Amino acid sequence: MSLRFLAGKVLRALLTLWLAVTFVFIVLRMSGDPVQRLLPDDAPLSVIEAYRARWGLDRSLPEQYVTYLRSVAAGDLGISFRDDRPAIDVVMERVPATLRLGFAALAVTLLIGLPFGVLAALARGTLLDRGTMAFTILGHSLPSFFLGILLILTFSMYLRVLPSSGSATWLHLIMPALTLGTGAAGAIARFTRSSMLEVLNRPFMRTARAKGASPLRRIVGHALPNAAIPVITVLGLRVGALIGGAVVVEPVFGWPGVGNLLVGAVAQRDLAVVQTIVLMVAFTMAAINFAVDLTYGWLNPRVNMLGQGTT
Amino acid sequence: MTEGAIPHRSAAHRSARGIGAWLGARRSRLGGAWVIWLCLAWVVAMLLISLLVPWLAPFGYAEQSLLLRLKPPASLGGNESYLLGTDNLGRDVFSRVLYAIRTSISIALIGTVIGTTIGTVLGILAAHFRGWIEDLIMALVDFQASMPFIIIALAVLAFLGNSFELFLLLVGLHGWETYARLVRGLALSANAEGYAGAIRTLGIHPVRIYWRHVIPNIAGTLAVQTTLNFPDLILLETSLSFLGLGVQPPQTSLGLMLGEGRNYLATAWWIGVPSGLIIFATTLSVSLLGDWFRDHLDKTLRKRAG
Repeated sequence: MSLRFLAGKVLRALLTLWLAVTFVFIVLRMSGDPVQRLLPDDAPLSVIEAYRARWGLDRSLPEQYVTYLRSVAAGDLGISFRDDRPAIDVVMERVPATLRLGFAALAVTLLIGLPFGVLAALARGTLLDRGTMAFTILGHSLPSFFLGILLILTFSMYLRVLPSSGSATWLHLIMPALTLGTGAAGAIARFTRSSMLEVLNRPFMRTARAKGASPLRRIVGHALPNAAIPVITVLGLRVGALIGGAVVVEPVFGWPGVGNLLVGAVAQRDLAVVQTIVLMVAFTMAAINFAVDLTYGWLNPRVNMLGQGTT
Repeated sequence: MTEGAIPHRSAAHRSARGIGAWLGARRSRLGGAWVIWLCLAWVVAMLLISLLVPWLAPFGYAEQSLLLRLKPPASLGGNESYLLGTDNLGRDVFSRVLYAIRTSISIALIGTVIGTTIGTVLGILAAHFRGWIEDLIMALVDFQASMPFIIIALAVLAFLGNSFELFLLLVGLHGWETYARLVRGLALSANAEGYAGAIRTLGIHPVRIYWRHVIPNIAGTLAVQTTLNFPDLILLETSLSFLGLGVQPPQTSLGLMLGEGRNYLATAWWIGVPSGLIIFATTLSVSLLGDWFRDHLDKTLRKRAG
């Protein structure tokens, strides 16, 4: 992997982070006095003055901006007025629950999406293909919050087999993970299918056939690795969708994660918590896109020669 | 398409034949064309309801009759003047659903206009000026594409407070990056093609070239993209309203109704479920239509199918 390729990707990740911090800075200034917004209303005057001095609010905007960048880099993101604790602590203790839900949902997505996508491409035009495609479109169109409510109605209210809210046991994880994972499963199945179709039509597949490779070898050895390249990129983008989806799904099931925290914080305008979550999501997305770019470059050596991958 | 344009293999050129093929097509890979007609009928019905709701709804959306609270739908033994029952304040669910359709569809339509306008302008600016302007616009596109938009929207709503205008703008900003990227690519290839160069040598102003020649040529592809994006706008609006952070009472939206109904799942499921079904049917119909358009405008896909 060329150094130039790597440097470009690192730069891109840093650019995303910088834009996110700048975005929060701008919106925060648009909302009025940031100290009042990021500290509790009843904060003592000495604390307010201390923050005012630390963020340099008596100085010019560019200076304030630099100070803000510095305090974000130092992990100082204000105090949650609901909890009277540093916002970063409030957010961090919700992360494990969201990760648990996220990984479970990703597992649901891949276990449904990949096999159906590959099979649909191989059996193009058959009932299996059409059924899979119908399912993917249904999955994409069904809003996650509605699916969640339908699951609660069926399994909690009618059959009474699963708990509708909370996170105490593994049983609590089933419905949120299904809700969050199913929509993305459709997208992955669909993308895997079209990516496979694209690859199956390429000249090298004909070459492989001409040289007498078995069908299994053609698919596992030639088609899948090439079809995987765009799928991995899309999978990276799906992580963003998972995070966005968690914001909606967690409140439906009372799941005590970051998404639930964010919705509560927005409703009560606990801005220190909101800004912490936004920056944390930006950081996560930058890291994931970076990882996707690296994997992409590793799977598709041609990207290195071009010096850039377009996503 | 554009009169006097030199025939070329642009997306719009393909789309002209694509729509012809669509009209003449008898089957899609998802079954018969009747599915597409059904989707079209549903979408038209939603648009008609949005236009005609004051004449269609038997009650006002805020009209309460506190003596008739939480009554089940008429067919399940409820009061027969309330087709889908009543909610916790004794409001007619059927009328509220109709008004909610109007709110949700209008927001998504206006959002589409905002998004395409911003995206098209920025995409053309990027393609025209190249250099640092293009870099800047594409960096913004990358940023927006890399962040889950609902997080950005929630942050703005938290910082600036919820107002209907701001909410509209936010829904509109969802997806501008798709249009910007698409338009930039199409404008670049249009610029590289003979006809744009030919007009340019005539000394016509760039704005006129883009407005009169390039945009009409890419409009077909852009229209398909708006159809594909439309369900996402509906989902964004209904999600935020469902969480209580979008459309605010006493106004109503499909998402808001489902959110309100969530508290009455055990006793009065009919408050929320109809709205959920309508969101589902609408996003499904528009998605299928969008896919159909795209598949039949995409030459390579069609060739493979044939």
